[in-house]
Amino acid sequence: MQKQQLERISATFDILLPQNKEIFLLLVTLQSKIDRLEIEDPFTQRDFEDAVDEVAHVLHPGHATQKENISKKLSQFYYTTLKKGNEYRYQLTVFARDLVRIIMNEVEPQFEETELIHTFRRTLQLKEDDLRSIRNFEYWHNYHYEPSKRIILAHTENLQRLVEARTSDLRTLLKTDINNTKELITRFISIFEELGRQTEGLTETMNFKLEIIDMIKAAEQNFLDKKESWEVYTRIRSEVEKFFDNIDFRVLSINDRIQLSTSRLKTLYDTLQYKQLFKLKIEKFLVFLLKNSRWTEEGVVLPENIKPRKIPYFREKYIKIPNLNFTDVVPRDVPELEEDAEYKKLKEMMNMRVLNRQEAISKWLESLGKQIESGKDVVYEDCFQAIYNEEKNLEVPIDVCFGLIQKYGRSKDVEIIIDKSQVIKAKDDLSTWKMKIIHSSS
Amino acid sequence: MENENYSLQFLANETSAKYFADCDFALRAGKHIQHYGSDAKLWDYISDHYEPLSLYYQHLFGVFLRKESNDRDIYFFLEFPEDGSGKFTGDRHRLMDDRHLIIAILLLNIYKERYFDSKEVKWAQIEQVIEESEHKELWQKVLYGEVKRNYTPNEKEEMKRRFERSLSLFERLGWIHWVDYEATHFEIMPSIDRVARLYANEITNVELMSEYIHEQLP
Repeated sequence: MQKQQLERISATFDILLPQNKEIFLLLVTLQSKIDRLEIEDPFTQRDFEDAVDEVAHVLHPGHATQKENISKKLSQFYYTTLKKGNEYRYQLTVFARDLVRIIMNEVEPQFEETELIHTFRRTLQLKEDDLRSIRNFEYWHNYHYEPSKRIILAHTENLQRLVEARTSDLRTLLKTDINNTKELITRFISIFEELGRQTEGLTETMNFKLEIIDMIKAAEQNFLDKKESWEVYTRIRSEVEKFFDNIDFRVLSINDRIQLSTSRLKTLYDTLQYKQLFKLKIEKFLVFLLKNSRWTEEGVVLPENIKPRKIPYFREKYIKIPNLNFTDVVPRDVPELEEDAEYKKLKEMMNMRVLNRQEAISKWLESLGKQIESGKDVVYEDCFQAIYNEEKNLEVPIDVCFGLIQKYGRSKDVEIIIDKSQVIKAKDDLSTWKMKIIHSSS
Repeated sequence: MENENYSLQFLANETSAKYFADCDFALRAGKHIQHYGSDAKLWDYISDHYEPLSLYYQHLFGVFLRKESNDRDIYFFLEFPEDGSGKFTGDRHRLMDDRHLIIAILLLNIYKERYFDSKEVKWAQIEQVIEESEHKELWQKVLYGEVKRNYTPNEKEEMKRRFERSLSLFERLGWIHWVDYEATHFEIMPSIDRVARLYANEITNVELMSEYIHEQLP
């Protein structure tokens, strides 16, 4: 079903809602001429052509308009043709009139009529008879409540839009280059007071709703006998209650806005000059700060003639693990290694000496080891002197001596004999043990 | 200290037992107390005991309890004497950071601009000031450190974080109220007016300061 509807709208869209403004303006012109009794209803072909010319004059002065073309586009949905005497006349359709009314209401909301309470008393009025049967109650809902609901909604929407537009206009009041600002404020005050009266009209209408809701509630027992009646009754009742709640909220919000603007306007009237100047100076100060501040690694720095102000600050301090964001860390350059050449040379020489000594010890140990393994005995007293003479380092024969003791001390093939008698005369101020390594068999 | 006008008698009443501690903590933390949300009760308490509370802070802390109004909205706060900070020495006071001041003046300007409108501000509106306003290049210089055609998401995020740090301070001071913290959506409170009072001299003499700066330039 929905698909068929969409297809039908799509097929007739171009003529259902004409794609150029000439046609809309023509409809508005014709309807307003009828309202002002400038033309008859139904109107003549001549009236139609005059209206087309008027619209063309507004939109494209000096250009001819194809009247037949426009007439053709309108014929299906916007007017019907009637025969009156010998001539054919035209009448706007209900669809055309409604469309014009909706457009006009958007462009120029008719707030003079917002004293809706009188209209509602006539259209929304709920009589005892309406609540006698479910059929009557449904009739009231469809033909009294629904149209009234549309009007209330349209008026609250318009009022809301108007309040917003007027509030937005108010911003200009704080600009210093407006002439006669005080007169302008007075005008705005009267506009907002008028809007306030409109809201009061709506609020009064809302009060009227209470009577309606009370009557609906009181009629509850009339619909208890049948399930179908009860379901229809509760559906309508809940819908009406919900709608009025929603409208209440909207009206209150509009009213708040109006009251705030009106009271501020009154305050502004007294302090306008000071406020305008001060506002301007704040703006200048902001620009001054922006222009004269510098950006450093630590952040923004204000010009020197702005001294920071002290404010109280007293907070509990909690020990917290710092939150380190490693993605933001800038790696530092690794410093070049500073080398102490003299120290390095000294260290190298020392290492070389140790290495030479180790090499000499190994060489002597190997040589003496070969002698022992070939079956010769070793008189270390003699060897000691020979090693010392050659190496000129006392550490070498001592370490070789310890090396031999370590290697052959527990050997079964050789025996280490050490003469422990006191040495009387030292040679070269050097006294040694008299140590021999002899083969066990000898 | 003996003073016949000074009395702590008010601390003995029931409402003091209920509200004094909260008021005291809030005021000493630098908060501006307005008739708004949960602070409304504290506001009522201070309003009812304004005289004795003023003497209390003046005698015991060496500071002034002030009552100021922005149009018709009254707010209370502690103010230091011109030549010191009373007992609020050391880490009991702080200086308004340079970045905080610029952002506070921006919010004050927005507040004054919206004289008749809602004072709620969304982050998108702040971004609009930084990216599209008449002074967008000055804003970018101050907030990003350099003016570029485009900023990386990281740079934008970092700038937003710095901005939010200022907003968090203002929230503690009662100058703004978070509508939605996650979305950086807040309402500027009437007490933002205090910034104008703190820097009233500079704001009033802004033209002279500009002239002075120009004279100093080589």
